[in-house]
Amino acid sequence: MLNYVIKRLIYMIPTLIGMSIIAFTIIQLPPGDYLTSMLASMADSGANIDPGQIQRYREIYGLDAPMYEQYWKWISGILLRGDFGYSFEWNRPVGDLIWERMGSTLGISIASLLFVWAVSLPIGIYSAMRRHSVGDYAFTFLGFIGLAVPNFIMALVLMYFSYKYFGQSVGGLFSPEYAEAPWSWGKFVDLMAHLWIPIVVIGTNGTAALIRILRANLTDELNKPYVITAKAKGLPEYRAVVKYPVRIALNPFVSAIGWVLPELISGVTITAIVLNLPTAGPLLLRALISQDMYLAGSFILLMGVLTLVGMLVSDILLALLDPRIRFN
Amino acid sequence: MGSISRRAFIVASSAFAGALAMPTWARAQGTQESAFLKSEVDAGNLPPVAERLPANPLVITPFERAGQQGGDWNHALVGGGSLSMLVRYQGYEPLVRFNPDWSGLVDNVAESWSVNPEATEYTFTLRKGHKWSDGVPFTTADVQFWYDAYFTDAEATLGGNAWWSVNGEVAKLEVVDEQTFKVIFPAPNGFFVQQLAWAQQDQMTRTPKHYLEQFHIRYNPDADALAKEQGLESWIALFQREIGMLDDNTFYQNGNRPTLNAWVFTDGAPGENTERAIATRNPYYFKVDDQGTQLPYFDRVVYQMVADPEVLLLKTLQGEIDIMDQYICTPANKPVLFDGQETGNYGFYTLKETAANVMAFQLNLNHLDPVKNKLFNTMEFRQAMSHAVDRQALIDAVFVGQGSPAQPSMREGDPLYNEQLAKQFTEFDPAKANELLDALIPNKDGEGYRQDEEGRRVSIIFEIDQTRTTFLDMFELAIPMFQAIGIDAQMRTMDRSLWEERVRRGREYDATAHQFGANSGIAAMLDARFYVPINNNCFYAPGWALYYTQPDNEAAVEPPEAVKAQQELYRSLVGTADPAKQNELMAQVLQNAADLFFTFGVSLPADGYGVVKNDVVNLLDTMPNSFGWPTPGPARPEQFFKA
Repeated sequence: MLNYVIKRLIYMIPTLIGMSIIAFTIIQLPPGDYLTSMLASMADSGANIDPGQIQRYREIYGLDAPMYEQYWKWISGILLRGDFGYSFEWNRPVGDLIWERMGSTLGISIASLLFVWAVSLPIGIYSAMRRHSVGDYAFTFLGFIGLAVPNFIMALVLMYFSYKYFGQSVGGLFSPEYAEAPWSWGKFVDLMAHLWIPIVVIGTNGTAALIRILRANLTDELNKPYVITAKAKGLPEYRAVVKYPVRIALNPFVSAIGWVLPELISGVTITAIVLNLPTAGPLLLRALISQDMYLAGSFILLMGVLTLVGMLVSDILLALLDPRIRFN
Repeated sequence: MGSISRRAFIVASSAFAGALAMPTWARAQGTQESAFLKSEVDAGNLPPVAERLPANPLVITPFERAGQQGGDWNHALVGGGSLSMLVRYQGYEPLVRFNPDWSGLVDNVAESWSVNPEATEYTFTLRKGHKWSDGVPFTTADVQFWYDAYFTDAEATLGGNAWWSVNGEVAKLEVVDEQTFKVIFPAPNGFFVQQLAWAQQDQMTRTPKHYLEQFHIRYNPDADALAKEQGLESWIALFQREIGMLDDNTFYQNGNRPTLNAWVFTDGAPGENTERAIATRNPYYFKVDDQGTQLPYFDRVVYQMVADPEVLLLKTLQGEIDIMDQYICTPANKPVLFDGQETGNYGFYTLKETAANVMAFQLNLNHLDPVKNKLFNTMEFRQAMSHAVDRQALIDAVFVGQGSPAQPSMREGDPLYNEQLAKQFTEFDPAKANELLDALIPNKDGEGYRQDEEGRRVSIIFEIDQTRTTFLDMFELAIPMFQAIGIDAQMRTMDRSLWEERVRRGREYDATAHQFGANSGIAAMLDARFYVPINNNCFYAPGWALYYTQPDNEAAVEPPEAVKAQQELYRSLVGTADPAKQNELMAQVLQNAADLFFTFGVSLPADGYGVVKNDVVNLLDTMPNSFGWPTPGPARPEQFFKA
């Protein structure tokens, strides 16, 4: 097992190098660079720009150097000094920008992930055991609605309702009057009043898929002879189902963790923009639009690392959960 | 309150004693101290208000009535790090500024200014005792520093500031004394002060020497070491970040640099906090109202950072935003904002649109293909294209009927209005268009499209930046109109950065469409993009425009005589300082523009609107909407307050 983990970690190194190169290249692919988009938006707002300035700007930003040189500057900074470079648009180190958004990002993502699991596990089990019942259809119907309605529409509708009927300040995590206040019970309540919208919006999207997967897997297991034997021997239905078939049906949950980790950062971008949440997604989108390459590149690299780590974690968990899986 | 404290008595009587010798603003003022700053003053951290103001502060007469200091201006900014809006609200403090109705100039940071009759020598006088937001005096030394350490410093300069040069030669700065300096041009430069008044173009009031000199190698030999400490490669990078002339984001993200503005970011610059940015009053601000109260009235400006305009719309409906005319004030949002007036407790004001047209069709008159080049340069061809467009249909469908057919031109009612320029070839007349084209390119192919001299189908691809949604809507309707006269018009939408690359910096496009430009007085003289090809906003003639500034450049195209004459006329306009003469020359430029007929448009833009809370006082009911007149900056946000 330990050997396996070490081997996997070593394999990660070339993968990461490849990923960093691809990430950097993709960001450079669209025509123009950060300056092009900056000058475009300046010209758009009416500022006069002298074409002669552009070359001078390029030199100062170091954008006139060839691509491999820019890449080396970026990657050597990360490897040697842990320095992710400087964001052109924000004029601040990329590391600071990303870290200060990590708290709220992880908080919201994990809360909604737990919401998804808390809702879909019991429903999935119920639906599998009472297939084609009224309850099964009702939950399936709700789940599909959640899946089918685009997140941002649902976010806008919920925000409108919370404005219309609760008279609440919309967007963000706090009302203006609490934003600068120190932590208190009132501030916590205010946070909860804001937090339910993103959790529900992000959550509903994930529940339908998980309910269906769990329902399908569990249905397969429930008809297997060992379950019938267990029931025949007088095991209560609850124990007969939860002890073995549910464990096996959980495999897809666990193997999906590899994708969940990067999703935590980038998955809810549109929702976060609509809901005005101070998370990392909108920052990434903005960086991509303005071609702020060090910020965007570092984000993509970070997501690559998280995917790799997530895959490893889910492989290990899978082995723990299902003793039949062996490493070789 | 029967008794009067000893302190108050002394204050009151000494104020009375001084009254006879003092100017009116000071007489009325007494010793009123801002409640917001009182604790600082009492603790001895700040001098009292009388010592903070310049000897001759700028006295502002509020639009409606004088108010009182205090309160927050609740505001919002949409979209990541985009801070170019801040100049509108708290960054418009040039030496000389545009007046509130954009008909002329008024003194601002400069106490007075003058120009000699030849328009070669400008003299500015600063205010004695004027101080930066940290209390250090603002003098001509700061202006000199900008000129020496930044503008003319080969390593530090970013170029730009084109209004400082005439015929490629940079003006000289001559400092007379602590308050007076001269700018001397080698040849006439008539619009120097107007250019300085244009938003974000006056850099002389933005470079505190005492703060910035530590980052410049000539003033501090250790500047390189300082830069290395901050993780930057050289002093140049650090100096650029600190001086912030690269772009608006860099400028406002530095909260440490002292400023002359009404509000200062003290508690973290915008961008550091992802949810809000707060600017507080500048204790040394140089303006007072006619009652002697130091401005600004608002103690703080609180910007909520909003990622999406729809969220801002909801916040505005809820009454969380005091004044807003950007982002959300579109024709489509008007009904919902109108319905929400009562609950949100706000009303509306009018924005006069200043753009020359909602969209100008621009054929590339410097096309590299000789056949297309010849065709596009034929006046009758452009006339036919213009007659083919049913402008009223476009206006009805895209602008809910708001507007009336017009070419890119001056607004009706402006003294410089030229009817020919505005209205020629605007009537929808496909028969006339076909007649004109039959004389030029009569041959048609099997599908009914016309063929050019070489037998190729006449196709025109309009390359459009896809973020301009109104353009896309208009083109959906306009393309069948062009096809109806046998022109194979097509629209190609693309990402903005590709568009910038292909059109703004490219040559190989058939045609494009764009907007902006200006439709009135001073603005049109400064931004004459549709009337004469002079800069890289003139997409109809990129080669001619380059010829105007760099005739020796390889990519420049020598224009025909009529266009060259128009450029020379504009050059002489720019060299004229006398307003009457300026108007006369501009009228001529416009008449020539009408005869040359470079571009054709759809409609003058209809008036826009803004939303203002009912308790906000002193905001004008009608304002221009512009970047150069950074709405509402010239209407003096410092005298806004809440009743």
